[in-house]
Amino acid sequence: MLRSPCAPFEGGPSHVTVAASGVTLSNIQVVSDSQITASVDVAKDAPAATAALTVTNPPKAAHPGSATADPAPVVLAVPKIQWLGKTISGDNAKTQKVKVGQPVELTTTPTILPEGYTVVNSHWDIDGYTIKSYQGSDAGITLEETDVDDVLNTTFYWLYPDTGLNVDYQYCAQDSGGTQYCTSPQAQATFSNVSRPDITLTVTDPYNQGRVNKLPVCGQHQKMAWMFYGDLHYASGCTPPFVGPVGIDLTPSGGDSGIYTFAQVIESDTPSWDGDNPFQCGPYLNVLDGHYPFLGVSPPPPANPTMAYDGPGQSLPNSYSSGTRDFHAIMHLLWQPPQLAGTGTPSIPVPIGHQAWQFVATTNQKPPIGRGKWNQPDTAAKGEAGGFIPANDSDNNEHGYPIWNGVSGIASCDPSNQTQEIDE
Amino acid sequence: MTRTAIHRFLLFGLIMAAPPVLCAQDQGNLTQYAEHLKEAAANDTYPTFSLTLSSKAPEYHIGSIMWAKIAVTNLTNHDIDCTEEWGGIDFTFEYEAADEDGKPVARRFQKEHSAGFDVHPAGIGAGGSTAREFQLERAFKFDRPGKYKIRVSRREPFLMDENGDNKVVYSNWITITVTG
Repeated sequence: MLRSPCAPFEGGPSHVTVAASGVTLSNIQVVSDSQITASVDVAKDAPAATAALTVTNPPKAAHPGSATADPAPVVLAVPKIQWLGKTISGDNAKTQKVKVGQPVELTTTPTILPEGYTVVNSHWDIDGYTIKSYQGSDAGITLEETDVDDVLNTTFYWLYPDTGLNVDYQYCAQDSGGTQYCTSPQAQATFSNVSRPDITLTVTDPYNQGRVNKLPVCGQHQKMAWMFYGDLHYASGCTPPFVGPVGIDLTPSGGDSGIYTFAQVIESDTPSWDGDNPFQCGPYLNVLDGHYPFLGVSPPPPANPTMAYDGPGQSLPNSYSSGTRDFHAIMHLLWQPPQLAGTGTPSIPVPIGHQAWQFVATTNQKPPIGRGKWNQPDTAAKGEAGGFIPANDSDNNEHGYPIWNGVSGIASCDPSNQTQEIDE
Repeated sequence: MTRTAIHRFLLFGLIMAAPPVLCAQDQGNLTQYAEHLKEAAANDTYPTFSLTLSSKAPEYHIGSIMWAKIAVTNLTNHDIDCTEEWGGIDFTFEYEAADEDGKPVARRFQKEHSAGFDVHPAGIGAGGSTAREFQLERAFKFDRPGKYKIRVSRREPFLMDENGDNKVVYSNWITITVTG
């Protein structure tokens, strides 16, 4: 409690006092016979409170003997940002580190103001590219933008590595009459390093060309001709798994203890027979290849895949003289960091980059047409198309995550009117 | 031969001399991976997986999209194959439907009549499962209202019957109502 000399009434000066922890008065001035003004200074560690500001007049002075400021000044405490149970803002706070894709779950104080006041207009300023949440399915990758307004707490994930990223928080108070007080200082936390391993993707082409093979048909002593990227056969009987060098291998490296996720988007795919598309297969443009995540990986789920592979195929009905596959795909690589210690919230996959690749080949049936004897294909284009391109937040409207329109497997072909002889 | 290819070859040699444990980085070669699966399946008993079929809705209109789902569960303690062969529908499964009189419903997409075809090599880890959605109306010609029983099946990759054919694993039957 502080006392200050004020208006010189008979019997001594009036006293101005303030009753609240961590606050002091300054700049006290007598404005008139009925008005005194003063500034209430708030220490950084002052709790949120209303400050009882009272003027006490000397006993022989005119009435009133005392007067209390109404409304009482509200003390807006300096906010604090907390993460994993520790305060990370303020003069003595240490800088923080986190990996991309790991949850940054920040809470703040104060959360409760003196009676009659509520916290309003909380606002966060967060450097770097962040999202609040990620969900991925065959239907697409759904992201939510980070909550920065009107929330006491916020959770987000940084998507790309960076250094010296600041997180600022401030709030206002509103009294029961709707008056807002926005005098709370800003709290700031600094993340000195948002890290990510140096990850890249290597492409190999084990067979180096297309191949026509005949596969047994289940329940029938017959075979059908197919053109593949790679030299693929069934391992046993009439059903997968396949054996033989596959068309393309895509092998990531550098991800250390994290988990790789693949998503393949078919940029364009136009199968044709005799230059036509009688089976209404495609053309596919920017569709997901099969599933998200991409299933052509090894080892299979639930293990952490160490590579992805693919070998597009095309049937070769006997009634056609030629078959062509014009396949262009983009394999997206994502990486999910290890679980962050101290939280049950899982980390999420973040975009790393993408690699375009292709398979363009044509095969012709040896005359006479109908015998199902096919030449080995002429492979016009294959393997990687350009280099591995690192993801960038500005790649698209999805922070560099892959986007697609539909799914190739489900949207594939409508051969309701087709006929085909089976090759003996 | 590229450096990578040489590396693969050397690794393959080491694998042949060592216990049959396949290093993860070698599994991109489908032959090696299939051999790995075949070796792991040497002592398997039928069935090595189960199929659970479900329909997204109990009733569909003729001409509408009729979504269904097949859950494949690995019943072994090792990886199994779960490759997809897409051509409008996944041809690694066989599809059966019958009307209320038990009469088979005509198939629409059939593998031997399929032209668009994409192989998606995939596996399921020990004890794991995966779900594949598909459209019933792509498998069958539902051109009359009525109740239909449907089930799917899939061949065992390595377990053969007495005729040398791959054994078949069947799903449960489901019933859907098709309205006009």
